[in-house]
Amino acid sequence: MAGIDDRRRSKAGLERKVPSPWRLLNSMGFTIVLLLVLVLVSTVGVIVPQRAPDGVYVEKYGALFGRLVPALGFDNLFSVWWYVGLWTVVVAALLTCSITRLPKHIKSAFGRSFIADPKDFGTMGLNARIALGTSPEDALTGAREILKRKGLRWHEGDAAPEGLRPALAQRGGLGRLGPFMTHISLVIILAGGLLASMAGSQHHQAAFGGQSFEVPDLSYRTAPGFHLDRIFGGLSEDRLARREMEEMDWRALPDIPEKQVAFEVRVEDFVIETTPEGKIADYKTTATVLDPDSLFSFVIEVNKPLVHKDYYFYQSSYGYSSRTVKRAILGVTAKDGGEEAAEVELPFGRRVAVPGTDITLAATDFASDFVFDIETRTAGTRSESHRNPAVKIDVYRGGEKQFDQWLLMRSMGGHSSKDEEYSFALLDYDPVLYTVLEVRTHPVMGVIWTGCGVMVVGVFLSFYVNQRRVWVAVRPGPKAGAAEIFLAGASRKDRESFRAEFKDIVDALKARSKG
Amino acid sequence: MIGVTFFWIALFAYLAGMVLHALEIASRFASSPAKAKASGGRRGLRADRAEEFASGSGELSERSWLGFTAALVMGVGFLAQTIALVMRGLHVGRIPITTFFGYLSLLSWLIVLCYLVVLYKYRWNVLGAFVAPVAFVVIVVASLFPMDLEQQLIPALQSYWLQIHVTLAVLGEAAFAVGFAAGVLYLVKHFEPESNPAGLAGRNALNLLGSLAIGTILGIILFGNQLEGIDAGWGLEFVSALGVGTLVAIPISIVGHGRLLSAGKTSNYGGFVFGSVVVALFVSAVAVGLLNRKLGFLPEDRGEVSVFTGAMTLLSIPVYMLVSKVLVGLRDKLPSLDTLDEAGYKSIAVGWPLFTVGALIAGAIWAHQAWGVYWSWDPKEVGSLVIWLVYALYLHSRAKWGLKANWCAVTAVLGFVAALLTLVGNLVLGGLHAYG
Repeated sequence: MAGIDDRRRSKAGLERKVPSPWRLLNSMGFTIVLLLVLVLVSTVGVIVPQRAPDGVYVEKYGALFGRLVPALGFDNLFSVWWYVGLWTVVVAALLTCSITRLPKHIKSAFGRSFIADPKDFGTMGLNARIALGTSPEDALTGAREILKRKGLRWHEGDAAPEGLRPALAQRGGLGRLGPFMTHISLVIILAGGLLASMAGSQHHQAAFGGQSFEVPDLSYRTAPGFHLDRIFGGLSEDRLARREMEEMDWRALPDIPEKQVAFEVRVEDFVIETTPEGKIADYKTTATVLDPDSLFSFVIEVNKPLVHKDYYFYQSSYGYSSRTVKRAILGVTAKDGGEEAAEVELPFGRRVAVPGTDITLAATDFASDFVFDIETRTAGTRSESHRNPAVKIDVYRGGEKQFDQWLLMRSMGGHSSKDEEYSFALLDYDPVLYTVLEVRTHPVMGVIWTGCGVMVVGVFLSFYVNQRRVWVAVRPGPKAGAAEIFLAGASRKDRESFRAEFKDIVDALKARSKG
Repeated sequence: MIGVTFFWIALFAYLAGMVLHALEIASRFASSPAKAKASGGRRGLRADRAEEFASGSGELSERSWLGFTAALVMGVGFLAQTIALVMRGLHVGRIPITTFFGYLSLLSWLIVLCYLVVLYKYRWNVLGAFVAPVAFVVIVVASLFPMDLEQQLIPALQSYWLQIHVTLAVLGEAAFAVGFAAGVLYLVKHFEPESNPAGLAGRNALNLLGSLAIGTILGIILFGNQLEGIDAGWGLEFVSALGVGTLVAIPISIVGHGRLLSAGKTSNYGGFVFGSVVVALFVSAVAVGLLNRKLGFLPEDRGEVSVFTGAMTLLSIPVYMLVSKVLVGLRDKLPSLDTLDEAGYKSIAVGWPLFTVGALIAGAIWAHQAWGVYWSWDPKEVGSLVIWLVYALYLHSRAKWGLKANWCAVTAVLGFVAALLTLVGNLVLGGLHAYG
């Protein structure tokens, strides 16, 4: 199959013309090169870590390549302009190829071509010419029966000169549309993907049990004006920073003048279910949707998101509160030794008397990553992680508060207690869990799922539906009462088995004429 | 551990089957030395086609008791592995595919299934004999992973989509394995001394890749435990050595080969090009390493790796020469190019739709349900996309060139290699799919 360019070259003689963009997009050779480039580039994107700090690349690949990787955009390959550009070219090529070839495919799939000239039968790869001892009418009927038994649909054409009667038996024409559907489905998916990434929104929402949060009305994001402004406003640092802020905290949305609340959601509870062996079985957030239109509760799990009014709430992750605990477990030891340490459970904020002593304790504060600011002389937590947990206890004697003290879990012993008689140690604690839900809108998903559906159909048609055609022509033979029948067959796929099938048809016709 | 005994029976059965098949092929060598000698050991494409035409089917359908035994042994292994899979599946109440062991085990089982299908459809054809080693390698790799059955699925995997997504994907990959074997055989059949220097560039590239692959595998087998872990930085190492080596090798081979031809010497083309390419690669790799010691443009251990790579490729010369000799002899025993192309196409025509629906579409739907993102450019997702694109490349190449180019067979081979690399990629690269 010589390319269009070859023909052009031979026509123009020695002159070599650069193919027009349209021709280029249409050519198979260009497609192959494009696919190859995509494969190679995407493979690099798999191997090279994405979105890592520049230092990582220098460390991994050396000074030269370590600078080349971010410079060329391989550190954020799937968003870099030229990679997106590559896919845009793919879409353009898909569209051009599909549109150009569609008329031909439709004609081939649904059109009815008849072969009226006996000579033309001879040019086909599979052909046969049989002299039958029956009338032309009978021969045609016979052929129709046999071909119908083979599952082919029969169409008769107008009579041709010399009393020749053509017919066509075919099946599976729909399969010719497979490639078109597959290609167009990819266009739909890619276009839909782009739209979805622009119009959709996502947001991490953390919540403790009993806490409720607002879900803002994000319908402004599907307004074209919003996107035009974003596109033409440019992707400046400022806007990118704002966008990140949006994703962290909806209350910081800069783009809408009035914040409108769509509805509220209250997290009732969050639990982590474990198996007896201690393996994680499930994450469950029980949430209530507080919408005047509908009030209901739902248990959100991974793979089971809550959906309400086109907002999707996914179980994303969880965390432990850095400022409070359910209860702290302390060890109380008498300073004069001899006595064993007693363990006391302190529900957060409640006073608990220590048995066998005259003191009462209360856990009143907690820091998951304890840090003491020397300047301001305040205690607090440095981060959300539980690297250096500490609890603050209030110590009472006879109903009066004596002092309060921070106990760090990591410092074993060596705690100088302000109390004369007893020393305290933080042994363990029950953290307070909070759930993190991912709240998303999917305004264009219908397009993408349609594309996927079309792709499934297209792929099925391309590979599992085979177009088979058998052309027939009957004319009166040299002798009266005898007929000549011409046959030709073609199959898009599975040629070996079609060859056998064609042979069967010919044999059946021959047998019929004898019997 | 459940079903492990049957698993090991299967593994050794596949090994035995593979060995028996190899013996069968070797016996074919011995049985027709006259035929091989008569054609000079090198037969042009045209001569092949002529013979096919004359014989009608173009297939070597010789039955032998060795071949039959090999198939029988493979069948026994298949049954054993079926039992193992059923036992494990019943124990956890679903298809056991959530661990590396489970996935690879299922893949090897499906490849053997494809082997049996191929054997049935194409009769005692050597294609089946080449699918068996693929299954064996996969099951051996599976055996390297822990075989514990994970009763409790992590929350992210608790969905019926797990079965659909992974099962269809692995089915597709098993079909790709047949395409891989057909592609390899096609390239072997097409392996022909080139008298025309214009085709040299393509040959060079193939030989170069072959030598690198053999050198790397040899090196890892022999010295692997002395290297500090697998690091993606190696890739750039290879690329730089490869680039330099190719640039040096191509003109050498063109000039040198041309000289040999004009001198009237019948050249063992494969050996010559390979030798020159490997020497050039060795020199360039060592040069890169030494230069690096002076200029330090690569991280320190990379420089050592460069020298190592060069040394290993040198080692590959004797291996490759032996392989070349075997390949040239094997060529005559293989089915026709048409058959191989058809077998490859049919298996990919079965596998690619399954892979599309299973790996990509079902995966996207599941991701949307679990995380709200149907595509997140995660390494495994992109890896699957790459596999998908390589086979798309195969289909388009075949539409354009049909049998005229080796390129289609190359893409079929690369596609399966990509599938295997994506599989192990998550061991190294992490990402959303890194569960185990």
